[in-house]
Amino acid sequence: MTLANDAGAARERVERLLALTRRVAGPAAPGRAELCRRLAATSGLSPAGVEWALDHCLELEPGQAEVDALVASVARAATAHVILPAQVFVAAHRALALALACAPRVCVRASRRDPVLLDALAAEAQGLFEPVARLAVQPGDHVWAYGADVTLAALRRELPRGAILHAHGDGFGVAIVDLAALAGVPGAFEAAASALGRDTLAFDQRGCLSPRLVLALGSRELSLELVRALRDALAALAGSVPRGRLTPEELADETWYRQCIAGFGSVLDAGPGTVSCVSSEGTSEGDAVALELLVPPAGRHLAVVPVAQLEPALLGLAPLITSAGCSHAELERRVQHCLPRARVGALGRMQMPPLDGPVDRRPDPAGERL
Amino acid sequence: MSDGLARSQELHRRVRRFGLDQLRLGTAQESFEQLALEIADYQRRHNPVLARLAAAAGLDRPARQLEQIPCVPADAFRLGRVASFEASADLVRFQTSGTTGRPGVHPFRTLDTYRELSLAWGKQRLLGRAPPERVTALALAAPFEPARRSSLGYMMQEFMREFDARALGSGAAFDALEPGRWLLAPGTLDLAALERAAELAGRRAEPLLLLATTFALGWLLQALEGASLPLPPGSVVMHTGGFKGHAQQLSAAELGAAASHALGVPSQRLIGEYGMTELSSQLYDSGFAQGPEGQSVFLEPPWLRVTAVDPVTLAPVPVGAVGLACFTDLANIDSALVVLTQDEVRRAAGGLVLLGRRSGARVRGCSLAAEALAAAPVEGQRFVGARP
Repeated sequence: MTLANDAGAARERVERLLALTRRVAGPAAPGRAELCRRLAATSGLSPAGVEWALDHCLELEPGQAEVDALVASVARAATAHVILPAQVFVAAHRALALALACAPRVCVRASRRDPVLLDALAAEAQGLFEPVARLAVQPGDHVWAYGADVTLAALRRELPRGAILHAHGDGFGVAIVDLAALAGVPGAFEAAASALGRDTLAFDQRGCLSPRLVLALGSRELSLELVRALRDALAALAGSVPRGRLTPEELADETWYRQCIAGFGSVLDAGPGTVSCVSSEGTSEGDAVALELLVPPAGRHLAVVPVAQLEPALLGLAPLITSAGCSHAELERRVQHCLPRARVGALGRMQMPPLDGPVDRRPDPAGERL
Repeated sequence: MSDGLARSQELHRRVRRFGLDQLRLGTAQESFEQLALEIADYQRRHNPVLARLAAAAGLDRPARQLEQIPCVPADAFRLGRVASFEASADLVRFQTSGTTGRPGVHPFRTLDTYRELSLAWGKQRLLGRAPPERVTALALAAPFEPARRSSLGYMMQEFMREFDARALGSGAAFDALEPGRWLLAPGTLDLAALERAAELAGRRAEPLLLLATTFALGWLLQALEGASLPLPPGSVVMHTGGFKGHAQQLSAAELGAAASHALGVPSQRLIGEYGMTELSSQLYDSGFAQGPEGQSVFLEPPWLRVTAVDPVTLAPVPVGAVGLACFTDLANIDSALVVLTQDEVRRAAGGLVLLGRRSGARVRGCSLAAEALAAAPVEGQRFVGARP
């Protein structure tokens, strides 16, 4: 390790990025209104959805311990590369932070569909990183890539031997609600639903942290109470933060999903999205429904699945779960035990993980040497 | 006998008569619409999935128009049981061959309608309206075994039983599992058995019917390494499954030209089949690239209608526009009359052009099972009797 790239230098680069992002996208940034307008045009989110994401999901003021943890989470190298995703525009910030913690030279390829935040940061970056149209990866370089599994598989074939890949692929969040603990507590269902609704509206559910499934621990009757509370919460939140535009493919996925689920459970309209409730019992083979089949598409859809036992349900999904939101602290401990690599926290905080490393902790932190 | 079973049996009889009359006479006593509406009502009353879908669509009485009948997405067969009868009455559960995730299951309490209509339609489309008395029939596929639950394997077996009905060896009775009848095994393609069968058919002075998955056909061409293996005059190759989700994708044009050349089968006898585990009926094209614009055009049997629908609204799209294939299959009496797929189609002169999976949809299909066999690590890939 050279002096130019020790932990102190890495930390300094991350601090420079934080200052840059605050200048460009922080609450007092002079160009923020224009930035929001441009982001609304490219991201598909509503203007209020963009504002909400900037206010709640862009990590501008991490604590010292968080930054220390982030710097410690990556190896040092001479050069790092970043391939940014399209779905979650704020992801550019954390992705840059990780790459800058790794290397003094960082090359970034923006998503073609949503280059706005990166362009805005690059305009004032003063050499902190280099936006590029094509990556030129050398053996020993680290590459952070975010995208669909099929895209990442293609990238693996393209990168040179000796490159170190940090691949963050398909995944989603789950919410786990202890119904018995909520029952009888005035307003508890509504509070849990409202918190989960906030997790769901972020990025119109396109992010890998977005909850899709709700595992409801308890009876079907209490599950239905949660379903109704979620319906009301999502509808109310859509009033203040409307859903943006869905792509034709997303709209088709939505139709397909609704028609599938309606044959096996109840589907309630919840603002622009839905809340469905499907039993995991009683299929043709007498076993439980494969939970991955119930995962809704993006667009603010939640599938509530009553489960009697938490651990078996989680284990089947573990490779796909990036984050879990829990309705109380004791549940968080149980879930973290089952999902040691997932981000586990409280409902309402699923989209706000600390800036202490990648949001998706499933891949090996050392990366994958090709 | 329960009311449901009696009604099901009656509908099966009527659909079989409708289908066979349409094939033989070009007309039938009942209309497609009348049968479809009665089957839809039976399913709404006896199939919980259809009952829920009807309720969700606000349909609390029998549908009066085909457009009112709820469609069942093919994924529903993966999600749970889609049937109008109890599991205890299952005769067979056909299973989809997707290589990822949970398979779809299509339970049947009887295969009479499936078998009778598949044979009648397959014979007409593959062997023509004046079929030869016998053909030597082989499958370029893995053997059908009940445990494998392949509807395609079952259909191939019944084609061999009906259209050939003799042993490949001398003197013995027909045995569907006779060595040399099924040319694929894990890691193995039995080229020598195909050569023997071609010689046998030649001696018998009759055509050979080769029932193949499209992937296996590609594998056969690879095994031939550019050589030819001419089949007797009049021979037919049925290929099914398409090249969905393969690492090595041959274009349809390349495959068709190569297969036609290698096997000495003219392109009009290289016939594509389209079927799904979730359906009870099949479509066939009129030969490779025989459509007016050089594409393959598939034809439905009289008891099956395909509507191209908008993927968002599920409303029919204008004729000639691309939409998702939505099948109304009268032979699906005990499961789902209307099945929605993720396959894109377009109406064209003389039938239907299949355009492949909707962008973003999961890959599935029978051809992938052959790919899995080719990739099986048990013995490694080898060709029995492969040319040096």
